[in-house]
Amino acid sequence: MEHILSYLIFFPLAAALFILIFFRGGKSSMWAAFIASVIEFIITIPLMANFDKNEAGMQFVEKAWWIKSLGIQYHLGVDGISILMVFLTTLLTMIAILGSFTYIQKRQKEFYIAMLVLETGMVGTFLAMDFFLFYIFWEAMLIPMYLIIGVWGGKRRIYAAVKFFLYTLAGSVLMLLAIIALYYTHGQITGNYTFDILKITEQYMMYGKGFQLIVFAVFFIGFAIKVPMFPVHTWLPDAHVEAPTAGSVILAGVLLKMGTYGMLRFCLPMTPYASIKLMPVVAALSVIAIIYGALVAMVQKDIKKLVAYSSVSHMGFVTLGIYALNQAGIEGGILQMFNHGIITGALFLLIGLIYERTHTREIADYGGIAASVPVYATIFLIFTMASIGLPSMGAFVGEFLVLVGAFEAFSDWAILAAIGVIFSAVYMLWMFQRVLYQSLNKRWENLADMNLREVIYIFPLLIIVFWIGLYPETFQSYMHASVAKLVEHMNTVAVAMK
Amino acid sequence: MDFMLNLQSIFPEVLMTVFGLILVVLDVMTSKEKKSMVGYFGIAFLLITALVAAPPVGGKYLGFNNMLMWDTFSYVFFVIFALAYTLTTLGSVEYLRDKGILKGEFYTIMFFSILGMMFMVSAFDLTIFYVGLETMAIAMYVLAGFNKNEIRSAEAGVKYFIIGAFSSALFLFGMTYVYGATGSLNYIQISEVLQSGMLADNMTVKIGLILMLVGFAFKISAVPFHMWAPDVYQGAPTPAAGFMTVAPKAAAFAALVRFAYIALEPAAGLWVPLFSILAVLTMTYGNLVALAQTNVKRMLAYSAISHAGYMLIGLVSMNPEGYRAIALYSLIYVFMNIGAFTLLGILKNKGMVEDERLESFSGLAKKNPLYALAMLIFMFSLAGIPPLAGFIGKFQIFMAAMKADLLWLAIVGALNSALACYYYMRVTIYMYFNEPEYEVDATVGRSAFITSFIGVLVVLIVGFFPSAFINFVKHLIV
Repeated sequence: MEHILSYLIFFPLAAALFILIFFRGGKSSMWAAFIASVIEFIITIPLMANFDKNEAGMQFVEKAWWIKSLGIQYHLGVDGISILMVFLTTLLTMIAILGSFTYIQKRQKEFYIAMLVLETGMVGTFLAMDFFLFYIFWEAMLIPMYLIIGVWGGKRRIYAAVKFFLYTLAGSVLMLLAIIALYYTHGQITGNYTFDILKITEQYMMYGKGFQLIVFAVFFIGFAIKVPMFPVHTWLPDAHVEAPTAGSVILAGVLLKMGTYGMLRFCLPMTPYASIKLMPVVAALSVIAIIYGALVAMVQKDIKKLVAYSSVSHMGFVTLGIYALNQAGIEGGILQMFNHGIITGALFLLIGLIYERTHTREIADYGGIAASVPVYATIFLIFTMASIGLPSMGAFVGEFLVLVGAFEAFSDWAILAAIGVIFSAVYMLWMFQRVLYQSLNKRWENLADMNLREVIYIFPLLIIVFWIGLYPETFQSYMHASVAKLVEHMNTVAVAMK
Repeated sequence: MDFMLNLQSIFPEVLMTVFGLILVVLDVMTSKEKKSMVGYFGIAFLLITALVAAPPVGGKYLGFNNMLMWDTFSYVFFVIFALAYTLTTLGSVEYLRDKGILKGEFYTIMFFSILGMMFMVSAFDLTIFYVGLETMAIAMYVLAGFNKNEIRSAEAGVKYFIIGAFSSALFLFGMTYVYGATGSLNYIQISEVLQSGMLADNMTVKIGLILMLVGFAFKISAVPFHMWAPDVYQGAPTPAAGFMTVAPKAAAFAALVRFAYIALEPAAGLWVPLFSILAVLTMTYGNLVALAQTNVKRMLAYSAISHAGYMLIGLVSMNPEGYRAIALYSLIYVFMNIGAFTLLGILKNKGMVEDERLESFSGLAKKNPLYALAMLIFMFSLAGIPPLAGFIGKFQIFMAAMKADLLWLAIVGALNSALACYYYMRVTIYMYFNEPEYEVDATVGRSAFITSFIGVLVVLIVGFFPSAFINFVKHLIV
């Protein structure tokens, strides 16, 4: 248990190196990567089991000097905000790899290596407690994702890959400057020059108002691009549509969460003054994302693009919840991050597997296929409902909490956001109807239904969706303490500001 | 005692001269096919010098009436030059053989250029500096035009010579003004005179300094004094171009740092704004033009210009972090840029011509995955993407700028590195995302393999464990 976080981070990388050196064939490396991702997932289980839910601070902390002369540490830790994200990452990576077995036909070995390297980057980003380390992982994710979209993607993959890369990069290089600014400011205040995230957070009271606003703005732009929030969301539909299934699953499931995670970890605790001051702006942007994303999703002709835009809308709920700055809102936001990863991940997998059979994603090309693929139709229906936020399923709990929190904080925006929930029912159900019902398109009469492998990889997601919906406490219990601490922190500042 | 100090201050250069002369003799003795031996001996000599001449941490040998200084700063840059030489030599054998220009002179001249660079870096006096500068520069002109069978290379040599001579003349002209006004060519004495404030509005010294700084700007190819650079880098034999973008530039930067920090410290108000503007222009212009290139060698040439711009940020930061960042950046740049040039040099289209067009990289990932992976790593490192070494260099530069409250300059630098990413990525796009279009041969020979392997290894290791490199430059004092 002692170095479990390091194992979590570097096991996939080691596996990738192992595959690079010792495997020749695509098939064998595919299985090796899958086994590695299963082992990686299994490592998260003792982590979840041994996590002390009553402890608000960091757990399983690992600390060692890395670049001592600059005050850079190899510092890892996990708390209630990040633990679910780690779980989500390892789960979705495993599923995405299994879901790529037949989808990826060329250069398989490279693909699976890229997936494992990507996993290292993602897990590392959630666990890093040193700014420098965090930035390295944050950026390191870009290269494998860039390759995944660019090599194995669709027709306009190059455009999408480059756009994804440059958007994220532009946001994060500015973030780097904010990190350095925090480093120096913290150093000047305490005399201790360090990139330690927790130590820098401790001094939040000492940072000047103007400084906070600038740092907040820079961080926020970087994270908003990743989320993505309106108006910097335009890379997302391109990237999602062009990426191979596994890429879309990881993008929607994990990468978008990095942005909101960053807001929770950095924006709120380090620049609380700016966060409170700019709360209305973020709320407005979130609501715009919710409504705008839903409206644009409604008119899409491509299923994948529709789900991509629905992500913009759903992630709007997450940011709205986080910036409600109260227990319900933040917990709802985190839960919704998790839900969105599971549900959208599943939807992308489902779209991917039907695309493998039909080679089209145009909604108009489909119609009535429910008759030939009943199992698929049933599962698709469940996830459609989950995405809409039907009670008894995960997203309902998340959205409900977000709206509760939002009503408390800014009721006007909450009302508008609630309308977004209705919109999501419109586009999802309409899409579902056009794809699976109506008269059967003759081309798909002999469409093969889901096979065992496909059912297997969807199954865990199915269970989790209902689990959260029926007994969210299992998942929420992880975050109570950490979120309570964060909310208390924000309240102290809010009181001090008055 | 005085004699000992003098000797210690010049000992490395004396040693290098002796070794250089031995190389000339060796060149005569080796048979035509074995000329690469001369290069290998050069590596051995550099290694010996590096081992023998290492100063103790914080040790300083200032000799010849404060004209020459051998200290950690000189030593670190000497190591940088030696590494550049070593990598270039290892990576160039096949290229030179294919081109029919595998001659001992290539290595001997490169070796002597390092001697010049050492004088530049350890100079505490403008005369010494000038002697070093010319020694280095003449060697460079020859290297640029080394492939005399090829018109482009010959043109590069002539162009470099004319513009180099011109900029040297400007520098010399400025030097005489400074001498006339301050009565000295010694850095320390110039600084003392400037400090006394008597020259606050002395036009002579201002003109002199500006002319000298322009001379420097030529040498580091800062915009708008960069015009020679792309043509020269493109025309020169590829390994030589790799060397040129790295070693002479590092030398000029190191000398500039010494001169600026020691002699011009009191005149910071004059040169800091000047070089800040040059930094912005250099970064932005280099990147924008590189974006438009379809020839990879030319693109790398423009990117080399933009890298000079980043390094200028370290200079204008006016703090120890700044010059340490420059040293670190140069050190890292050796590995990634020479690596990239080496790989570029072995790319052949239909086995005939050296092929540098972007299209020729199409689909290389399929045909030669290791080549493509190495190139990918170099490109992303040059772009400054973590966890590769190039990022550490940029990070240190930004740290220095932020420390100096040059937020605006850091922002310009950061946005520029995002911009630069696009053209570096284009190479990877062609290699990984496109189908092969041409009969391109990218067989990596043994010597090129060694160079690129070392390059990749260092870029990765420094990316993950930069401590050793950071500590290496930690004790630098100008």
